[in-house]
Amino acid sequence: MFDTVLIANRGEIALRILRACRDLGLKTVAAHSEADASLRHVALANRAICIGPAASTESYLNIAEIVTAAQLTGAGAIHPGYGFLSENAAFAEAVENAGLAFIGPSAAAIHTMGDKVSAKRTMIAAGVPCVSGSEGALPQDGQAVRAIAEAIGYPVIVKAAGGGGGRGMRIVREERALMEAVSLAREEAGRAFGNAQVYLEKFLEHPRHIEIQILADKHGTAVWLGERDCSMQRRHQKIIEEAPAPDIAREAIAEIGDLCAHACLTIGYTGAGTFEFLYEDGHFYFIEMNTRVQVEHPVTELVTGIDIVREQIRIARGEPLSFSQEDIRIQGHAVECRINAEDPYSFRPHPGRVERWTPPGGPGIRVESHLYSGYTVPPHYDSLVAKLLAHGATRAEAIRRMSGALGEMDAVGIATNAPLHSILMEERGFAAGGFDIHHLDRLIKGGLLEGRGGDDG
Amino acid sequence: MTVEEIERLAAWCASAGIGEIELAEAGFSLRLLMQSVVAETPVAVAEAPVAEMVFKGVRAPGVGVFRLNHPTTGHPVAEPGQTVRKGETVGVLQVGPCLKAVVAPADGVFGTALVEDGAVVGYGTPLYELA
Repeated sequence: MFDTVLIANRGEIALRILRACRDLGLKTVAAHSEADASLRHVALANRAICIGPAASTESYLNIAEIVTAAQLTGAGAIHPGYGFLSENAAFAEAVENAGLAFIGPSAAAIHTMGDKVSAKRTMIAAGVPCVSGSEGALPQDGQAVRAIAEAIGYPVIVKAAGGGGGRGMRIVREERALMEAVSLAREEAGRAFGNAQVYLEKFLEHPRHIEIQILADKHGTAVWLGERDCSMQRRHQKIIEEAPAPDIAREAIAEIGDLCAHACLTIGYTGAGTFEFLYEDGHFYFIEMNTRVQVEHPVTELVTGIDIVREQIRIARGEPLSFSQEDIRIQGHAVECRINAEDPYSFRPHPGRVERWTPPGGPGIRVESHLYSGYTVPPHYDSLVAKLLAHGATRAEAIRRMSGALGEMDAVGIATNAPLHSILMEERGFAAGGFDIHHLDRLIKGGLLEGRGGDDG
Repeated sequence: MTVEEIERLAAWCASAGIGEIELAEAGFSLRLLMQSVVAETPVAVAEAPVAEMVFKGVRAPGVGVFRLNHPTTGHPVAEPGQTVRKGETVGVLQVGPCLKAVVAPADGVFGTALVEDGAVVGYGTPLYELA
């Protein structure tokens, strides 16, 4: 049984993992890049070790150095956080082969769920509803591809089997545009993911993004912790998440939640995970599974009172879940705003030195951030610098608290997207709830940001 | 082992960035020391200025256990006071059964070790003075 956890990540999630380890009485090793020696969790960890230069390919993506660092520092487990190597089956396997515990699912489960085609096949077999589409990767023969698209019905979307984050995706509304879109998507997928296989799916016009959080232990118990609505997205990137999802019947959530928990047992999945769905006209359509902890996990923690990161570690230690499905209750409403170091209107990254950081507080407010006054946000990584969370008895109360927190937050020296969040908290569609994933892009196209931010140059 | 095989092995070591390799079979042993002409130089140049203002000596190339003496010879790879050239192997890190070459970043006079034998070091840890 391990007593020391190596944290193979950075920023707010590294700090989050460190705190969960501390709560469990475990020691921590911060494995960081040369550019990240001044991170908060590096200062707080029992031990820190530099694993490479700033470029993530040579540090946070360097499997051999991370495993060696764990072995030499006496860490018995590695927590991969999110992003970087968290969904890399080869990394999970290298960790397992080194005799260390990977805090996450098995390499085999990551492999199965990481490939979108095999994930979808697995989900269909487990009875989880999927959007109609091609059976696996598209054949080379154009005639056969056209027949598949015809059977699904236009509009269709071409997606990369090994992809994610919106890359390699193309929407096709009529047959004459099909083959060009398929070959472009193949090219892009081959370049971006090293896997040129693409598949077709029915394109939903106005879906919401609803996801189910699950936890599964190594003793055959799997539970679902309710849902999150992550429909507020800009170019497929989530920026606001909330739980529960407005205007979806609890019975419908319970039904899909049970299917997800059951699917975990079918595929031998253990740890924390998220089943992502599109939701349109009362139907759920599985899109992909994230085999790791997610950025927005605290939304669920606020409404359930369950510490997901702590449970992840407990599961990796072989402990059974300490609660059952019946114990899980959704209390009130929670909202999360992702605070990025970027210009709020042009969305250009804005790294730099934080002269002064004053986080908000008060009842129902939670801040997950690695910022401190004097910290310099390096330009090498993702621009997420903080997550503001507000919890209230009702959705309206949570939103009011969030508005107040956004106004209180002070990050002098860097630009953040907090002003954009403040606008959205007041926006009519957001206030009503239940908007689709194109809502923000539509608002921006409609001039939401025009005439703003002129003083930023 | 034929000369061609040794050449192939050397080329493979160079492309894989391996600094030193030892082979032993019945009645035969081979030790190849590669003069590293590292392809990563552009990155190092781009990142180096800030670090070099602080420390101009020899740094650890990665994660490993610092060894004062080369485990097979029992002697230091380079002695204090010795003149070394840029790119020359001056020390070793041990990772399990493997050794990582510690390389001089510039020409200079090699100084004393700054880390104790057996210490776990990370990428960039200062290991030796270089004057």
